[in-house]
Amino acid sequence: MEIKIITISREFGCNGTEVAERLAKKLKFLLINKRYINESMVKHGLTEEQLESLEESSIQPFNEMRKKYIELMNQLILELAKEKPIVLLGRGGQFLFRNHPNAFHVKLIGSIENRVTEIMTQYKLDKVSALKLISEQDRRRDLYISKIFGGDWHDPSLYSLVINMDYFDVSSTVKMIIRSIKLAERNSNKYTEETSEVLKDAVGSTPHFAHSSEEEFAKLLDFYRIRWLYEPKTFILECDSEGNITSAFTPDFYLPDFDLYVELTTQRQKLVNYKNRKIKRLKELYPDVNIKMIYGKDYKNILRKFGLI
Amino acid sequence: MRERLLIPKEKIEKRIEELGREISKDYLEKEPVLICILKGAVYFAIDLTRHLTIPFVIDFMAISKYSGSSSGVVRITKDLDVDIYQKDVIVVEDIVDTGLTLGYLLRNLRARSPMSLKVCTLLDCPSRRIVDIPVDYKGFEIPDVFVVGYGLDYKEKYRNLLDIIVLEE
Repeated sequence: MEIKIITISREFGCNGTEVAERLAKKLKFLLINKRYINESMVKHGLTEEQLESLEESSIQPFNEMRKKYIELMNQLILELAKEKPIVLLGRGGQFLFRNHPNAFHVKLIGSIENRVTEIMTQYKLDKVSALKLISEQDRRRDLYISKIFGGDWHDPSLYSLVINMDYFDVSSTVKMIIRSIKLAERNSNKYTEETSEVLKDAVGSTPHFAHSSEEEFAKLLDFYRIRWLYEPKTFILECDSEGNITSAFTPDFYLPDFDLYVELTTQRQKLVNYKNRKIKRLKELYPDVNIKMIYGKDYKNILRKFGLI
Repeated sequence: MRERLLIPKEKIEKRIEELGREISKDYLEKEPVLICILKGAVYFAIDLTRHLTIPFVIDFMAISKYSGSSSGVVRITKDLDVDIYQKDVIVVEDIVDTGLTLGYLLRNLRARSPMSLKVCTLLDCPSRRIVDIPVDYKGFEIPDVFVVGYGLDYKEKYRNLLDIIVLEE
């Protein structure tokens, strides 16, 4: 996988503009920023005045004209990305190219103190005005992303890399992004070559299953390329007055990609009731643990669906 | 195995008509790509499209089925003919139960960067779910029973039944 689209999202006052400019120059990628988009829009027939009132940071209601402008802008960016490698600054790039196989999403953050200092220097403002400007810009960006893409741009899972600019200058940040891209490219190539066997190795060799239904279930997960661990954790449910464990529960499987424990209960009803009580207790003691019970009947229907019984 | 009627054809027809209306309303002025997952969803997908009042593109996809053997992983056996990059996509399924098949499909489709990706299923069996899957449009929610008919099979039989029936031991 080759990275051809780099999106830079930034909190106001994190030197995002400079990072994007230097990065594009260094990689010889096309820089798409507000100025580039506005120049292209003028070529599409919009006037400077219209742009002034429509562009991202304006306080404007989301009327039809603005929606059309954004649609046109998104279309333009998507077209450009097909033609050449790009560095896209802002504009909801992390959403526009979400899950794009050739995209790398960077977010730059910083403490409010450092961002205020940066804005005071950059715009020659006093502390109060800088703080006000930052809060206005942050609010506008929140609004823009939530209105256009219906998402929360603060969600870290949207990004390939999040950099706290309190710790790095622009030059180190650019180097770090380039190095991370190279590593991501290398790892993704490796990943595509991975087989289920390698995946299995990554989570441990084939364990000794206590029951044939568990082995069958593991095969099913392997088939659907879902990583699993067999009985990786025991939850303590009860201790006596001396601290000795008197009741514990070890779910059969853990699926790390879903943060989910799975317990198969294909035995007699009496044992099922016993397990149900344990799971109820586990949920009380560990409310953040996700656990799913698969009962005998469920399991039979799953096997029947695949024509195995 | 005993057969028991679960959803009669009249009820299925009425619900599909409602789903068609709902999707047509939600995708007004859009042209969604409907991806019918072979083979089970064929009957449902075709009937659903008869109730769409919007333009749409239909395509088909098939993936290999778990056969119980120890080797092998899921693979696409029939891929899409259309490009879904930046398109509004609706995956049409006959039933969502464990979420394993659909989970794999959605992971695969998401990597192709559609504009949006939604799921429309005739039957939803949440009590059998292993992997959480968001279902956007559903015809009927059913309990944990083994169903056939209206596209759903048991060893390739029963697909052409007009009703949905439960097979019981």
